[in-house]
Amino acid sequence: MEMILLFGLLFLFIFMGMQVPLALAGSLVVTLLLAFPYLDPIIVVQKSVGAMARAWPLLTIPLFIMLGEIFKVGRMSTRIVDVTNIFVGRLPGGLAIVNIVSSYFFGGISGSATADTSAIGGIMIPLMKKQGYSSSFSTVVTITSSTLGPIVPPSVLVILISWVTEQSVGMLFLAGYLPALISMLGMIAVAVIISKKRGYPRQPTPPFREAVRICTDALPVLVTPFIIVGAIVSGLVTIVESAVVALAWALFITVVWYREFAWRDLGTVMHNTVATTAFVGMLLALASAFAWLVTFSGVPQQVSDLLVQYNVGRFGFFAASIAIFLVLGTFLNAGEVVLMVMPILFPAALSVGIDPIHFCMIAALAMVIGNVTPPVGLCLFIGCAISGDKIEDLIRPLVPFLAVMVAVIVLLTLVPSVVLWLPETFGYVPK
Amino acid sequence: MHLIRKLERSVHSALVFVTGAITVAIACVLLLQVVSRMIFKYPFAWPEELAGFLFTWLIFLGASVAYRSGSMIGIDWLVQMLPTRARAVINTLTSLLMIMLLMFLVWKGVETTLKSANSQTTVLRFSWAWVYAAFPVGFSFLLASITLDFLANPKSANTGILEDESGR
Amino acid sequence: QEFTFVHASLNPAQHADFPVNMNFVERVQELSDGRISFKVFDSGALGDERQMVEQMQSGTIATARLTPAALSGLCSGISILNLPFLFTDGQALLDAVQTDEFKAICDDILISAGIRPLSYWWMGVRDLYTKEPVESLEDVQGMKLRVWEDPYVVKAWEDLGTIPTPISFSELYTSLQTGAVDGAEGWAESYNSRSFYEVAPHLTRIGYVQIASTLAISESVWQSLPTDLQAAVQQAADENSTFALETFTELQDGIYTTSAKVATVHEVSDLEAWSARSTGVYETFAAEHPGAAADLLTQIVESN
Ligand code: NA
Ligand code: NA
Repeated sequence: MEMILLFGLLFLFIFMGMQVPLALAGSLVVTLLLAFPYLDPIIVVQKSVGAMARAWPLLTIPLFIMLGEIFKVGRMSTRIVDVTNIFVGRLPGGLAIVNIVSSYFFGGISGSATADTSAIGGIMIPLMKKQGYSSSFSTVVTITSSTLGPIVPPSVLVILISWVTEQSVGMLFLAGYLPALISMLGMIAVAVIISKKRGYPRQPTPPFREAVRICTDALPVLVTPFIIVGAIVSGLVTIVESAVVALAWALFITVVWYREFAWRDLGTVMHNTVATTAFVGMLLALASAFAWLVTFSGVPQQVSDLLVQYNVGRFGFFAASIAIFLVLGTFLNAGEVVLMVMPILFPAALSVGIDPIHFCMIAALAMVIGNVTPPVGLCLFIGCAISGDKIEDLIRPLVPFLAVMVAVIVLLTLVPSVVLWLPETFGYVPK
Repeated sequence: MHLIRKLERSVHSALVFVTGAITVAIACVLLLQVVSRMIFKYPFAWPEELAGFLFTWLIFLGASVAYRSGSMIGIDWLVQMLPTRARAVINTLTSLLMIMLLMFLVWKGVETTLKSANSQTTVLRFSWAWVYAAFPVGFSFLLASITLDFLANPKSANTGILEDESGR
Repeated sequence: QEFTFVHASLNPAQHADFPVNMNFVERVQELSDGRISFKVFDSGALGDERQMVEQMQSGTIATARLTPAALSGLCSGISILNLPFLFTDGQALLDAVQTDEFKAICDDILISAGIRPLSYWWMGVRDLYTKEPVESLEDVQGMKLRVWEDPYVVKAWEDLGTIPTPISFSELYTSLQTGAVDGAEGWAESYNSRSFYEVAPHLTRIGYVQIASTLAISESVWQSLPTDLQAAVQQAADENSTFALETFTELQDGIYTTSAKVATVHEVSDLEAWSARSTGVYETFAAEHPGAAADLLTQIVESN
């Protein structure tokens, strides 16, 4: 009963237009005052501050966000696009594929989908339009491929998931490469079919010497993902420290190597970093207070009892969870969904015998779809802002891409070994 | 009103500067951790605690920065579908609720801060009150910004974005 | 009048300490004739230990088992329980917490901070596990070890000639695997249950710290209880301390039998030398806690 009040108020406040962190706090405070008179509401302050002060892995968030911002200011995304073009530009629908593959690589540097949309989309959408691609197709390719960003490590979303579920960030990071690769191949297939049908052009391959020059020039950017992951896997640094090493590297190449960082850019970088980090942090802080009350009322226990009682099995549970992630993801941002439902679903998933890493990865894949679906899709909004398209015009072109993404989720649910193979290679023992 | 807006803008710039400095400080603390391990082969225990303390201040002081730069937007599509009168009523109600909520949270934050004064952190042994103070302080700035927006425009939603920025 | 207590356990229900928690909970229910009932939260569901302490101060959580680390923020003298090679066995530790000196430096301070210690648990000993075999003090020189974050323990390992490395417990397996650390100190139970033997196949029995815990009740909850129920709770807690000693004594022997099947278990011949290196930490502790705490330390050292 208290939980109906809590979640009812939460959604009421959200749909009244209250910012999600404040809606979390508001529903929590009102529920505490009405339904739990014996609990002191200072628990809200204690839990939200406590969560921030002891959140060692979360320190990577401002660093990975700043890394993405620095790479947005410099011409790093152009370099990634140029190199990708050499290898895949000659396929039918060359630029669309360049767009998709570039997002995979940029995802290996940036922690978020929105950074990817604005960095890659800002270059690719105008370029594709100039080559005769329809505006809506260019935007749709951009935004769907930018959902690879949070799946390829590093990823702020995965850091949040690991924080909520207490799974190793390193193992979760490793688990992301193959699912993202398969999603990427699926998106490329769709893009090629559509491009062939519409006769979109192939890209001329640059002459060999030019190609070599482009690759050499881009080398410092291209090694960045290997620095991040290499530093972790080699055991030289921990995940948290890898973020700072990567950031130092990013600063070194933009400021010293390429000399493309003007000091006036520093203001923009810092402002965007602080604003994004603070928003994510507020969400985390208040969601952990919210999750506390949910736990205190015994909901996770009731959910897993119900599951055992109705004996839904692993696939039944997966199907239900994916549906919840997809539905909530269309209304809320991925981070918000993680913080609200993972504390309930994750323990239940373990109780029906699902591997923790497998579940976390499927959850991440399902949630990022929400980034591109209206009414609330951050990447969708940014993509439209760049291309000037209307959201309604994108819904039909989105369908084939969404279908591929859902198909990938189903495939990975049925074949857990694809997700778990890399973590296992590095010593993970599946449940 | 004009003067208060101007003051708020200077406070906002100051907050951007301070939170930016905190972010740099976090990066430096972590860098020190790496360097101390790799070069001196001698890591310290305090960076983790200090970084957590800095992170808390970054988040709560950054709250109003996030609000002002439009990163903290609410979901407005449902309210947008309503007729103008109803929309105005909902927007006013939402703003008032947010203001009351923030006042309550600031009050509870002060209470928590005072209560935690004699509890010390594990490694650096400073009082937890220094950590908890981030909550009421940060939320006071957010409260001030939202209240100003409400007073200036009681019938519209609080997006935090100042549309008349260039006109002044 | 009836009471519903919230009892919080940091560890999941499968953990070895959970039955000891439940022994206390069930005993309180019996002795109070059901007038006190419990809601039990395991796996740190209500927060980490520091947050549990705060929730006990505000009365949200009634009872919990807390480690000295969690309480040292309120009462730094409790760190005496963590000093390396100080207590010879579990009974020595349980005797020390009964002294007037200990009550003055810990219990009284905790009560005024809103946490009332009911009784103490002995939970076994901390050993050393490493990638390379360790059979003497010489073998650990220069090793990078993951050490638990108590400042005195860190200093002791420095004095022993190692490089203590702060790494979160959840990253320990990978850190051992990649060689970011050469080993770690800790309870052999987690060595077995977390499969650390796969990446650090050598366990050395040094038993250098007697693991202590405080079974505590929120002072505001305590004050709300009538005297007969206070007596029931206290009796259950006293019995629970004995139950813990028996349970963990039996467990500790079983742990090594299990370890021997999956890893090489070593003993050191020069344990005296290890222990002698720890006197520096005692001096630091005494200097930082003059008065009753320093006196207690001297007493224990002399009785050894
Ligand atoms: Na990424
Ligand atoms: Na893209």
